[in-house]
Amino acid sequence: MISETKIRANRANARDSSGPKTANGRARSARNALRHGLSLPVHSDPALSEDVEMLAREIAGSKASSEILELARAIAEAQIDLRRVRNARQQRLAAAFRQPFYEYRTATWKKARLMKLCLTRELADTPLPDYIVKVVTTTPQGLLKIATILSRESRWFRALTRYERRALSRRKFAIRAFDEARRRGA
Amino acid sequence: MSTGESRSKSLIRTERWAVFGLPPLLDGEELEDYEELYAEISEAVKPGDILEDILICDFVDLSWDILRLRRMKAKLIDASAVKRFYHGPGEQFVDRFDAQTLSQDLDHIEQIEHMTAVAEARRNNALREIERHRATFSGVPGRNVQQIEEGQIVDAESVEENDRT
Repeated sequence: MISETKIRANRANARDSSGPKTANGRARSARNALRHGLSLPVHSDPALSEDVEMLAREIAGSKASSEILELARAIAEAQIDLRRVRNARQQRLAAAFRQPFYEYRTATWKKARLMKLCLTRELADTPLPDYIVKVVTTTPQGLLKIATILSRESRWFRALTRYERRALSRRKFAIRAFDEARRRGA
Repeated sequence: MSTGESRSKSLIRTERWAVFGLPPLLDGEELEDYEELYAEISEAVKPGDILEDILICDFVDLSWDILRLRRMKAKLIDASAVKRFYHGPGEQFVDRFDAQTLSQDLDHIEQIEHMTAVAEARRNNALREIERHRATFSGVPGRNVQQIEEGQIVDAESVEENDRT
């Protein structure tokens, strides 16, 4: 049993932590849901709604009862949601991968510092040695580039993983409900 | 490739992309390799309805991700542990084992291991859901898929070997 004092303290704390206070903070948090649009239901997009209906009809089959069609619609919604999340991840990864000089910000700063040192000290009048030029002009490629992207944008990819997990869970339970209804012969 | 085969492949592509989205390929990764994996797993599991198709597609996409993550981890360990050092006049470089840099990159490697574990868990869930779905109406997919998985693991190891050499 929680004491009255503790309840009052919890409520007071909750009042103090009611989100951003400044105008800038409020404006920024207001845009949170619009960053990738994945928190919006699929029905808010007419094209996706159409995809859901098509897939639901295919899952349910031609002679399905209204109950089966409704359960199939739940599967289709989760599946289209999942497709949306995966496409967003794929597009982000592919766009970063196509950037020719993608690397860690710290690596860029270190290279900039190295160049500054070379240009401001005794090396200023001499051509840069090949190994310095190579260090400065080389960025990760191939698998190392993908690893760099995943690490540098890990926060964004983690958020997407959460959306994906929710959609997967919804789809799993929707399929189970659908199977159960079909087994009963609904 | 026969005309029939190419027709069925293009059909797989069109249907798959409409329902499941584009394959998770990046520049430099071959669509042919992905389709081969897809065809092998489909052949082993023999999907009976669209729900099984959906789950197989998950299984294939996640397997593809896992193979990429494993190769990535091997490459990262190599790149972290073996550094090229400038060695004296004449601008010669030598490769040396660099434990300090490797220890700095361990967090990064652990992050990739975690992503691999998540993808493996999801892939196994997809397989379990196919089994559960079939158990409702009869049929067993398990053994054939396991054989393909083992084959893919061997492939991944050989790719890692190639990356090293």
